[in-house]
Amino acid sequence: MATSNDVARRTGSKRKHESHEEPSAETAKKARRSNKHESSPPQTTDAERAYAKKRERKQARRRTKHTTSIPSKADKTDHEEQATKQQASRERGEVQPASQRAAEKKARRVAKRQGKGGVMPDAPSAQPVPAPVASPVQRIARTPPSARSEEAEERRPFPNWTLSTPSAGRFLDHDSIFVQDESGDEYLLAANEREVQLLSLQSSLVVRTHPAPVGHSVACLAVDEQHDNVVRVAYSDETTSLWDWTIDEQVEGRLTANGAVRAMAHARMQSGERSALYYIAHSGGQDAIYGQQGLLHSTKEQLQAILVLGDAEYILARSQAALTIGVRKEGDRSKAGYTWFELPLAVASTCLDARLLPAPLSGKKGAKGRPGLRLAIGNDNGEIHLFDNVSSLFPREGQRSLPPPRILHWHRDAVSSVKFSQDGNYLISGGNETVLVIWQLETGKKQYLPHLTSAIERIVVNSEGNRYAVHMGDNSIMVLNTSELKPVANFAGLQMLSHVEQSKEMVCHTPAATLHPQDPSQLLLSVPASQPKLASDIGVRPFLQTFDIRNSRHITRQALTRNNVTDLNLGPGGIPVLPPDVDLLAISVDGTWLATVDEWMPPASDVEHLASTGADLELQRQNRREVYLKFWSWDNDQALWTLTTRMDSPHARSNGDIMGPGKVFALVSDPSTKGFATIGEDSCIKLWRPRKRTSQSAAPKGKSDGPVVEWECKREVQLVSDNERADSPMNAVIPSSSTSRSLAYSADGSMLAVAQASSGTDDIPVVHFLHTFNGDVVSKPGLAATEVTGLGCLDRYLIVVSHPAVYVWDLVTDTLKRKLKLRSPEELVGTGTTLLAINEGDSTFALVTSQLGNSKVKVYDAHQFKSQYEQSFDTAVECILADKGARGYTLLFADATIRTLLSSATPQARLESEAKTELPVAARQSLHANDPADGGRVELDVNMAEALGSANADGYQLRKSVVEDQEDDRPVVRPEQLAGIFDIGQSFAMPPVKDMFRAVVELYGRKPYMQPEREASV
Amino acid sequence: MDVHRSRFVPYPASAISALAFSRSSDSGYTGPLPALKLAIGRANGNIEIWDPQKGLWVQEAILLGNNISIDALAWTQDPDEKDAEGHVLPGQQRLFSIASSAAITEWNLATGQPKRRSTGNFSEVWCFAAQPRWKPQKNSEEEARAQELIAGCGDGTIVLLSTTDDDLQFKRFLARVSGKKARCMCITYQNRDRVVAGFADSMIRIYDTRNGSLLRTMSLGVSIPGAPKSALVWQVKCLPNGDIVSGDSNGEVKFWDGRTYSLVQRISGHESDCLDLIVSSDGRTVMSGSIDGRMAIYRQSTGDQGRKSWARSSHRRVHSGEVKAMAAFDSKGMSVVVSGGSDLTPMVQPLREYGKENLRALPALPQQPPVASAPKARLVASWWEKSIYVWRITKQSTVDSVPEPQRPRKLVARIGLDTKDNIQSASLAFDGRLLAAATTTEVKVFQLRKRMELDALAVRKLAVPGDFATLGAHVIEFSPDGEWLAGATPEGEVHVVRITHDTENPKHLQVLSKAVELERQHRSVQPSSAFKAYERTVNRLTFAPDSSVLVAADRAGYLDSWILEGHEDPTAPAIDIAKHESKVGSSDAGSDSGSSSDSSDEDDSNIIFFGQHWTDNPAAHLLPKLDSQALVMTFRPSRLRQNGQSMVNGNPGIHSTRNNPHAHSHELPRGEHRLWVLTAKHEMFEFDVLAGRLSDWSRRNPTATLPDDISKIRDRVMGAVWDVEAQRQRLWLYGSSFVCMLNVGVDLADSGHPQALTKRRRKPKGDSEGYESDRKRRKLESGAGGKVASALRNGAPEIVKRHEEDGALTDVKLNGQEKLTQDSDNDDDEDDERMDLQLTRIRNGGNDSDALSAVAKSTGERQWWCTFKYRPILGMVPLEDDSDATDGGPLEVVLIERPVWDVQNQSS
Repeated sequence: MATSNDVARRTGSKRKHESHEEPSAETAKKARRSNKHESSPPQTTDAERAYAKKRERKQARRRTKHTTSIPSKADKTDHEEQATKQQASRERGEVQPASQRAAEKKARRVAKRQGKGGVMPDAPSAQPVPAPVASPVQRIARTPPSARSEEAEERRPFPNWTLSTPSAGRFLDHDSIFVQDESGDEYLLAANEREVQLLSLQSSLVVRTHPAPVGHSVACLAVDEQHDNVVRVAYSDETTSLWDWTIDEQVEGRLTANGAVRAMAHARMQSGERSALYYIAHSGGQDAIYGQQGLLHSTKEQLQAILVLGDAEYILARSQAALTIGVRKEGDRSKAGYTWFELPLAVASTCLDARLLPAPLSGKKGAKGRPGLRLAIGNDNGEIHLFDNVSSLFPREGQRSLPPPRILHWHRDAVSSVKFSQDGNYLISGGNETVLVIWQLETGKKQYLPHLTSAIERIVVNSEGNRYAVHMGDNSIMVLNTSELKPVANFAGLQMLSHVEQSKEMVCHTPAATLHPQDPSQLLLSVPASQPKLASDIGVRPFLQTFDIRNSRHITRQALTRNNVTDLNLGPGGIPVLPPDVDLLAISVDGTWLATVDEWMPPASDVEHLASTGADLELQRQNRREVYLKFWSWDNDQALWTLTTRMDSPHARSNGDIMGPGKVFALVSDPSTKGFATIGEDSCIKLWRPRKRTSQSAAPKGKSDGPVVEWECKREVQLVSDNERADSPMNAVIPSSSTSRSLAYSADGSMLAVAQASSGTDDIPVVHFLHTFNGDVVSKPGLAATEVTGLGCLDRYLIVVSHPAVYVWDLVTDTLKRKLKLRSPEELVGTGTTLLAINEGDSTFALVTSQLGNSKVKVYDAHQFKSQYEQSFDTAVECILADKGARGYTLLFADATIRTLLSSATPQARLESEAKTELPVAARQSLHANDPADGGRVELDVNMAEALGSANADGYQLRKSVVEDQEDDRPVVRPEQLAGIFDIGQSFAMPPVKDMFRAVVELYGRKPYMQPEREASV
Repeated sequence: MDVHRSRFVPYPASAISALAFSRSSDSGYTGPLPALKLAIGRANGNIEIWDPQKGLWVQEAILLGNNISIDALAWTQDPDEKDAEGHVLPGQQRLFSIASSAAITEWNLATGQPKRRSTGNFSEVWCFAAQPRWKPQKNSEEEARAQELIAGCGDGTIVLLSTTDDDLQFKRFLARVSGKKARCMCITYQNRDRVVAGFADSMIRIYDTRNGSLLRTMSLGVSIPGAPKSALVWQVKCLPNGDIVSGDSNGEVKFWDGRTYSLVQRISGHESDCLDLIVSSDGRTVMSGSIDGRMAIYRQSTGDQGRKSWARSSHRRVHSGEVKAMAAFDSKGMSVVVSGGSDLTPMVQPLREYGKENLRALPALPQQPPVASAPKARLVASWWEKSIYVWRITKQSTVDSVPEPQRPRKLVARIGLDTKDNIQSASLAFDGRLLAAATTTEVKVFQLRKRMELDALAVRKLAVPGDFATLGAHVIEFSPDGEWLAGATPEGEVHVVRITHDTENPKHLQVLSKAVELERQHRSVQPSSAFKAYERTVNRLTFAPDSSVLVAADRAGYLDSWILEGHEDPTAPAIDIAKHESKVGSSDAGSDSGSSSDSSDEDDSNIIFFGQHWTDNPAAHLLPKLDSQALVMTFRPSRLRQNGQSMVNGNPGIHSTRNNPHAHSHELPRGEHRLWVLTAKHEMFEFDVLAGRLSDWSRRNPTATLPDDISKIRDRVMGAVWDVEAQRQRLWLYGSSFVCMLNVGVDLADSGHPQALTKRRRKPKGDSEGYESDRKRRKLESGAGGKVASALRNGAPEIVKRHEEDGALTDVKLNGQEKLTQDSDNDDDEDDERMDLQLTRIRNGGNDSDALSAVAKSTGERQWWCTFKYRPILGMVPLEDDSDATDGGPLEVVLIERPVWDVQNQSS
């Protein structure tokens, strides 16, 4: 259901974008608001005209704007601050008129906006930025980026659900570009697959985005050096377009290139002509270089980067095995062709930079000869080959020579990036060592910037030479000041582990991710230090990243295990010793405790001598496994998680092997109280609870606030693995081959459902129910036909995910409520996975079925078990998380994008906190009301009733106390807190009003269970 | 072959401390070019003389020192002279060294002894340098002057010495720098009149040698943070244009302008001390070596603004220890840098072709194996410094019947010599009863006897006739029957003594009191030699298996041979001094060849031992001069060994059955005595010594028939062991890194690989045909290892592809800066061909991975075999089964290895 409010909000936000460029004073804003809607058409034409004029006089644009809307050009930063502060109020003020206006608007427009639809209100970067001032022609030429027509079609049947546009995402493996606007503010143009982003160095924020057309991704960028307000963007569909980032306009229509563009460069023409575009296009198995004159060169080599130097005198392109150099022939500059050389490289090259040397004076007439060319090539061995001058290659036959290069060898691994400094006296290089190396070419001295957070992937030097942008392996870009090598700005993205294709030891990690229960906009996930680049790299995730979904901003990153980001940690055979991998994490219900499980195994090569067969090898590795369960408390002062308790080997090996700890399969947080539950390889369920340390003597110093809390295993319940085989002597012999186990808490935490999946056996899976209070276990076979891969409790229902189908059991009546077929079984053979997320807030659950990189999300409600929402994605959904605040689901995609699925109409919206407690009570009542169907069931019912009841009371108590705690003080809202909401950055980077509003309410009111805005709109 | 692979010999080796080429470049020589030599000084005071031979690298001699480390070496060459006919006679090359004392030592290369020492009243010499050679100026009438030596001392004194008139004289003090740290660390000539000296107080000072004035002082300047305040100037060198390069203890390499004496550029070349530097002859390349074993190369290039600037081009860890010393020879053909340090091994790196050619490690062990064996007694002796160790090697029984395993070896004698000098050579008699050791001044002979119940041998010193004992010897050798001992004195004479049983005490042996000097043929040494006496020094001696022929070879490649006339007659007087041979009257073989008898005029007596006496080989003058010195010289054993059953036509070598009543026979030894020779250029010859011609086998098997896998081995051969049985005659050759077998019983040519032969036969004929092609091939190399395959080459490619208009790719060859690869095409083809050949061989012999072999079709036997499994080899000596049930047992050898790690562990 598209409410008018939605439209209004969207137009409002759009208007905000429209206006953000314009300096504003309070009065100006008021004036503008008054004539906003009426003046929209003339504004368009004015702006258009202005754009035309801008070609001649750059100042014209500003003046035009002055005439149309903004009378004064205030100090930029000042303006931004003001705009930021005023945004909330402005938005609030605009809601009403906008909605009125929306009602008057044409239906077409509404539909169109709707199509663009689920504007994720949390992600400013995802805000569509159509150019309302674009001319009609341009509008035709350009597909509205947000108009996801096919999605709109699909979504129509699900009016209650909105899917946001993707946010976050990985930066392209492409050099970002330094640009400057007229006022001298510096920006960085970077791109991920979805969009081109304008990043402000002042605020470290995304200022503006330019989304790629639907279904296509951004391939590369190049800035026209003469008109550096325009950036050319190439898309995966072999088209390019020009985007004027200063005014956020698409300048010209999309041009079709001669193939998939892999790299582009603009040549700066000295002769005042328009700069020419040179690019590498891939088509038909060949890579070709196109330029001003059309096709210049084609080769079978896979060209990877292009450099055009000095008036297009030289064109350089790099492939792994060769360097392609095009030298312009003598003659007319514009028409002369190029002579192409291919310089074979013995070691695969990884990066290239080149620099023009002043032309030597040739003998006759004092005419200048061809300028020299200095090359730096980084290779896989970690060497940088510096060719002082390769121009000796280009004279006539017989005189060609190539003096051997200087070899700069410091990097241990492949050099990922090498760049000349602007003055040519230095070479800057980076690689996996997390050290930025600055080579002083004259003296051979090296300067280091060590201990960066992650491997360096790219380095960009700006045209003044006073800034380096360093792309790092953790999906962030750091901008350094060259004079003191201090960071100026940092743009961090979501660092989710990407799966390198055809990885040898492909461990299909499900991302260990969770949403902060108290602040659902915070996504916590374990991340790798650097993204694995090669197939041989194994991604392990020793770090925790906290990511703000709402603003699509990185919050913090901290190490959860030992890691070797900056140290070399090589085994005796030269094989790197990997850090442990955090594959499970959970946060306690009050958000103060984090539990993580990390696991480490020695590299296979270290135990090879002990093993005869491959299976034995794996066994030997497992014998030397290290597993730690760690409990972290939230330290508010430092805004970090601090390690409180570490449990070594929380679970034993399954077959009674004393060697090595067993794997921990699942870790869940108790929804009612501070506590966690784990299940491991030994089929043992352990419940972990905090405990105040009694001995005062051992209290650590400096922590005066409260008693020391440590964690202990409160209860340990050994499951019999399978009913029939419990007593079988075989059980001890055959190591259990179970591959996964699932755990699910009931909503009140009184019951824990456990399922074991043992691959390779045809046994009917058993689901065990554990009474968390007294440890009683009830086992129940037959809840699913095949192995259970997921469990979830929703109200009185137990949702059992098994391979071909999902079963919904009513625990009260012990009846199969519903069997939901996933895709057809044939489809799911093989690698298909099913993810389950349960949102108790709106009593829905979501299922994600993924196969071969495609995912399908279905949302069911817990009452009718009807599919409420269905959507397919091209990219795999790696993880689905339920927003506890009754807001829907958060989807993490394999390409590190995040989308939020929101239920806008909340049929079972529980507005009060009592709603939560209602459920167990209802369950209990229903339990009692129900007649047992058979004898065997009675026990379960009774047990469960008891369990639920007692735990319920317990949980209720707890929650109450929590509430009381909060109510003890009247909310004191400090100005900094408010500033934290409003002072995020420039006005255009502000989150949507709705979120800001909610944030304010969070400050002043209580927990954000309710959705006041939505209430208003319904 | 049974190999006792042994590492028990604790042969000490010591680090390289100094290196010097006899000249740094071929350019600037108007007269004849003297042979190039490399001197390597070691920490134990030894100096090795190597002949680079255009990349062959032959170790020619070791001048034994007295355990005081050689700190620096310098060569000078006396001014050229003209003889009566106007031929320019090159001045003699002279070698000087300093060794932690106030003395500068000149070495007599021929005798291997210090020639003279010069000390003035100055303190310990830290560094010294030779003045650049005088070059005739166009317009000056100046007479050629000998090079001077300049020495920097520990107290800051700089001393000038003169080498005029084949002498070494203190000339004068040049300067004295006062101060605590004023130690002169390094010194070099900028031109003939100016010296640049680096001091420990981080100063470089320039002096004029003519008047001793201090021209300029240059300071290294502020050192890098954290380093000591003043850096040591470890090395200064001058570029041909006069610019100065310095390397200091901060690892920085600094370039100074040679005219203004100002700093031009500083480059941090190393992370640790830069100990030595070399410069190329064109002055565009500099290399430095550091204490961490890395060597960096610097090249001059045109910088950003057209300014010439130096830049470190690359570096490589060449040595496992420090790089203590470096020396460069950079000329048109050869262009190498030799470096050495604590890892004992001299490393040869290409200089001009740096990066395009491999580096090469020269053997660190002596190339004349300091090992000997008494096969019959199963004794192995090894010697170094002043001691000789003798081991007995037990037979490794393959039968299990032996109840308790015997110790595989036992040290049965350890003899410490009470001599001034270290042992040059030693020899064990075949039956193990005699041991002789020689220094450059003394020869000692010992009798070894088994004791009854003890393992250890009883050692008894024998009296040696005075002149033989005091002359000393470079090489010493027992005859196989143990009756003769031959020694080649440092002066190049060959002396022989007779050993016999003591008449009074039959258990004792005695050396008869007369030694006989065997006259060498007079040969006019090539006039162009700058190493006259040195080249004529005998360095190989060998007896025929029947002890009746003795051959000596000298460094120039001349062979001298003598034969034993007559038959042993125990009844004859032990020593009978006869009159001159001609007066006695010659017998059937008495047609004395002119030169030898003429030359022995003044030495007018023949000494006859038991009716036998040594006389010149009548065919000696027919034996040609070898192309280079002989490295392996061994008589082919007659088909029958002593323990063989049948005597077909050989000399059994024992004379017990031949009692000739005639007092004095002139009968010549019978049978053919075939001498198998492998020269330093790995040319293979076999001479019929008595006939004075090449043997038939050698005619059929010129060097060219050597299998490729053997002929392409770069390491030189060190020795040979025969493995002779009824059907086969195998010769096992070994060098420091290889062991290879040649079946010389059959022709090498008719087996094996027609490809190889056809390829060879394209070339012109001649015995040295293989050598010619070899040399041609090598000429393009600069003297270090072979070319690096372009695929492995790290850096500039040789070929660039150019795209033509029609889309085709053409290869564009890049000419190097020097246009010397005119016929590189040809060369490449040949290399390819060789590669193919090798590949096919590997394919054919696929099951044997480390041995490349060819199998003769006729016999099914291997023609040759080669392995690189054992390295580095100190020596390989044969053993015999001492049990009586002998025959046809496999050859048994002791192969002594001295792995570098072992040596280093021991020394540290």
